[in-house]
Amino acid sequence: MLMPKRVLHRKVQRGTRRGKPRRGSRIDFGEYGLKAMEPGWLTSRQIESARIAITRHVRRGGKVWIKIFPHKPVTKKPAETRMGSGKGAPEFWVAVVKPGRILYELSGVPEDEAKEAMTRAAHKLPIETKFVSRTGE
Amino acid sequence: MQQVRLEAQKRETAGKGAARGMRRAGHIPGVLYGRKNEVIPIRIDARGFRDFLQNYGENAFINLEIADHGTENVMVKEIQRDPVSNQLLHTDLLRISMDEPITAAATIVLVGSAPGIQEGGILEFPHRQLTLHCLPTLLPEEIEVDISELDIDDRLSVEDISLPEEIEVLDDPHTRIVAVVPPRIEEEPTEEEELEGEEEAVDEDAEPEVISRRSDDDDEAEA
Repeated sequence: MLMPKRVLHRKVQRGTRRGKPRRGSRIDFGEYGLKAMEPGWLTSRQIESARIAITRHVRRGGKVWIKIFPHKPVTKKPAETRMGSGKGAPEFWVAVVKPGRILYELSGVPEDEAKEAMTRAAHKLPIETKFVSRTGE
Repeated sequence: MQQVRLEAQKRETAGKGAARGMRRAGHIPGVLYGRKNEVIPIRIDARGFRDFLQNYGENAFINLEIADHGTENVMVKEIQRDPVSNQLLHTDLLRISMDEPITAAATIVLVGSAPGIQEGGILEFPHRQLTLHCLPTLLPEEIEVDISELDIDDRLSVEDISLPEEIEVLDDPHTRIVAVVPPRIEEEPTEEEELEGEEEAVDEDAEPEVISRRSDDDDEAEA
């Protein structure tokens, strides 16, 4: 599962998901990509699950790039706990995604296969996404 | 390199409200600068500019006819697009002189089919443009790179591309342009492996090292 090796702070505030991505909205490495169409938090489990969906579909001959990383820790209080007594313990890690961000890139497979792989990955994600290709940009 | 004629008008308005209105009316706001002459805010017909980009790419020379100003030799310096819809938002145009060297990017085109791919290798093509410094007349439209001798684990770097002496390549000579890498096959794990994987995942819940905590410990030790 993706997670930072070292962090400056164990717990952080929620921050904002507003706005457009400042970078990462173009296909850099591969031929095809999966673009986020709405903002959201993607957990490391969702990112890994979508990656597995892509690699298992393309099997032979494809190369996958994960263009996002879960840098942000999310905390949770234990169940049935009274409010107060400080912030909960870090529970999982998320990547803050803004609309337009390329989440995955793929190369080395025909377009229809890439499209199917990305559709399978999209089913693992909690946000709306779109298949994009370098030629169709 | 091809020369294309485009029309533009000077624009008097500035700011996001005016720019949005301009886009709604089918124009793209832009700016023309370079060669230590005046900076001219312009607007270009969106459809014409899109057609130009589709047919000639970003590297063609433009004979820009600006109404009430005259004709200028320019090329596209930068294009801004909307990250979601990919619509054109703004363009920077740079004045050029045919007698002075310019720095521009030329697209690399792969020709031939690599035997390594037929053996199951994957073609990696991470660096798709070369930054060149030369006279505008010498700037190639595209650079053809022959990959018909690439086997698995073979690669071509910037230094392997031969260009005329008058053209200076500004990229690092060791930058990898194209490579054929062996395929990575991910097998679906059996049920036992999946269970083991889940146990490992629990171990991975360990927290990362906190940089600030270490410095706190140092402070305490010093005290």
